[in-house]
Amino acid sequence: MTLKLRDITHDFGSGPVLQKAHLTIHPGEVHALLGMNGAGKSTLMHIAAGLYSPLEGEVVIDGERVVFQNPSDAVSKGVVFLTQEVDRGLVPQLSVHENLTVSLLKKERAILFNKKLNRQRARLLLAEYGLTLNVDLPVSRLSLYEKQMLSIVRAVSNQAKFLLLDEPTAAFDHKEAERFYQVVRKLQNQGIGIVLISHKLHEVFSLAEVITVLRGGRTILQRPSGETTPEEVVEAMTGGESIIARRALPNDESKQVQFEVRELRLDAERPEIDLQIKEGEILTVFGLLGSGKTEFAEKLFGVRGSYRAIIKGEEQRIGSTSEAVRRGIAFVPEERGRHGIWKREDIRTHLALSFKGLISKSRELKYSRDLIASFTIRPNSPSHLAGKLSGGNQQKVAIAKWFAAKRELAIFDEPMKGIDVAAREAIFQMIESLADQGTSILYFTAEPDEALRISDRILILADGQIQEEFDPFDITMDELLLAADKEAKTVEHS
Amino acid sequence: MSTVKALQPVRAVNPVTGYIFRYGAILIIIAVIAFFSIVNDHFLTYNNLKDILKAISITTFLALGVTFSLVVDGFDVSVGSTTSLATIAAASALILHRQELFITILIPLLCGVLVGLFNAFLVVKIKLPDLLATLAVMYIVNGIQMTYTKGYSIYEGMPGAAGEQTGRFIPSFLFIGQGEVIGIPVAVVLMLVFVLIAYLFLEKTTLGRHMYMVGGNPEAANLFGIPVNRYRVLAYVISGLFASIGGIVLASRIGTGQVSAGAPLLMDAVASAYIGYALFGDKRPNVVGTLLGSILIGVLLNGLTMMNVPYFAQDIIKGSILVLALAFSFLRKDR
Repeated sequence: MTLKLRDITHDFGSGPVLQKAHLTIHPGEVHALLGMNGAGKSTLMHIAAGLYSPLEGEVVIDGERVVFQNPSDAVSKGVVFLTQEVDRGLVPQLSVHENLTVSLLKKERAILFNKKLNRQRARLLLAEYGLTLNVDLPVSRLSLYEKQMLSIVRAVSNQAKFLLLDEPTAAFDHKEAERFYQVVRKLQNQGIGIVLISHKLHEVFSLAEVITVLRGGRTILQRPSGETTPEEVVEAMTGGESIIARRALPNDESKQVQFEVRELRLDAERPEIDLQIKEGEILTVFGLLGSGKTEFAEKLFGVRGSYRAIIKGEEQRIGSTSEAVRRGIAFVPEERGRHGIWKREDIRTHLALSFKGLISKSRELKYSRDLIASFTIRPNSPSHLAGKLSGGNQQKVAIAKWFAAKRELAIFDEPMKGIDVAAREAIFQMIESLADQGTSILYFTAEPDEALRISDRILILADGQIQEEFDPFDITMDELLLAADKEAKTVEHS
Repeated sequence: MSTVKALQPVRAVNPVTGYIFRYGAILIIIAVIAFFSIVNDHFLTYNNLKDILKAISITTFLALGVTFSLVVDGFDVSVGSTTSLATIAAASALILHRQELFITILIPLLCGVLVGLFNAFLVVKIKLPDLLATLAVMYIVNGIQMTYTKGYSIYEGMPGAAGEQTGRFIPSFLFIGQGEVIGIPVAVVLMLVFVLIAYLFLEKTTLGRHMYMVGGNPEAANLFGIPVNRYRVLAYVISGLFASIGGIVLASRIGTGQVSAGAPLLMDAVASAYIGYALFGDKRPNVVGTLLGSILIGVLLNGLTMMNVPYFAQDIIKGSILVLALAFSFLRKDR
């Protein structure tokens, strides 16, 4: 059995996302799929899993063309896609054994439910993959790793032949990652074909037989992993560097330190972090998924307990988000739709959100129109609902809502996630205009092109710890990716 | 997953059906009023309209309380009991403790604030689901006012430990529920004043806006530095306050401290707030909608009584209207 994606072309109405991308998965093979943000990896996987139908090209299983109307069509052909949000396929209130056997139970159509037998069966299934889990535990109390494993075992017990895994190890610690690799090898021996999306190069090279790199929706590189090198793969991902417009060199050495933390701990086990950022400086914290990026960002905004910061030379305690805002800190969270905007409120309400006192509609409208014009938010009507904007425009609104007052520090957590190319440059410019007003910027990302585009200084974060500092004008994307990967690897093996 | 949706064709909404869905609930109110005006000559008279407004004034206070709890995405079903407690507190201050107007109003208001704080404690601190927490508080508060009065109403000249009680309902207090200013009942004036205050607070101040933001997306509100829990506490306290104002007006209206007098008002108040929530097809709790919802229920009760529909059958119609109003807004496709 082979799964073939042949010359897949697709777009969502704003330029092509995939252009004749192709991929073949053989049984018992691990096929790594790499690419930067927006390269088309997840769209390609969504097509393989029947979530979208491609505009052109075909999905072929065993030489036979298949058309998936929906994900369950794909599942019935043995193709299972496990996204990063593993919770999505599981029922949190139900126990492990019920979740594990849900489709078996559906098939059996038994009237009575034999709990004892079901437990037994679940235990056997889990043991087969070396997992010891209390099968009576509700899924809501499992760790991310356990949920991920449960989803995989369930898929396989349902006769899955091809598993598509989207950054499965992102949040694993090194022990969990080791156990995951063992399970992957076992699945290989059983003849299951696996597509592995991952940003961890060392993982890709030790697990995968074949590596495919997508860039701009095209298959750029497809080669057995033994015949290529990390350097070549990274170059294929980034495509050299000519495309990146960089931020102008900072010329002002006299700027004061505006925000500083000393001996900050993300949690009890992790080492302390020191961080200094100058007025108007854009500092990128570059870390792969699972490096503690979001925890760090949220900690600084007061989401995760209190800490002490030195803001403009004065020591301040920041114990809550409202305290953080009062001290002049702004935050643009990673999950824009859920945490950054109110889908049912209009643009004006967002932009005028930090106004105080009585609401003057005319004043707010005027203010909103100015902001909408200067950040080219489309559609440009202040009464448009935020939920109906495109991703890029939602993000512009989510950022612009902080512009009403002067901020000392603005924290961005992956602001370009799911944002089209056209809006990206506009958002970069918004961030730069904030910096020009004297706001210090902390930019958290896992994307090297973003880091090089926006930073004055780059810090590498791995395992909740700052590992190294780079000057963005002295480093290439390839070097940056390799450096972050090297740090992640040494941490995992220490 | 906005990209998934992008693949499916967007179903165009016919502008006419769009309008019907948006203003469906308002059309129902107009239709109901028109219907009663046609079948009954006495319906559209000044005295009858005054009666309707007078009848709904107390319920509206409770409904405003419920509206505030809905704004922060909570729910307060303890308002009925709080009203009962406030009624008893006012009557007790006058009859048993011979207090003047100021204390007589202050004590019930304090009771309302306390109940609100207790609700907030359960919902915000202990994190009980709002409906269950306020349901429990409803029982507790109801029990408190029953225990305090031993189940008897408080009235002028009631027997006490040392002979007859000498306290009485003073005229200035009775004026609240029974008086009229230039032909308009004071209770109605009070209701309109408080509706206006609540409206201005929620729609025209940034505090009210933040309250809506907390209800709309608490995570986003927290990540904008809005003190989410403080606003939720505030909403429950305001809810308790409105319920206790309803209790004061009620005590003044009937001139006695009747036990559990607020209980029957609860369901009408909840219904009014939810009709308001559905009213403009926005699924957004709002003060104007709540007032109109309250008026709709008042008009229905009044009109049906005039048509000699028995009291017990009126509930069927009330329920059906609520379903209809909600259905219009939940069937709306364009948002």
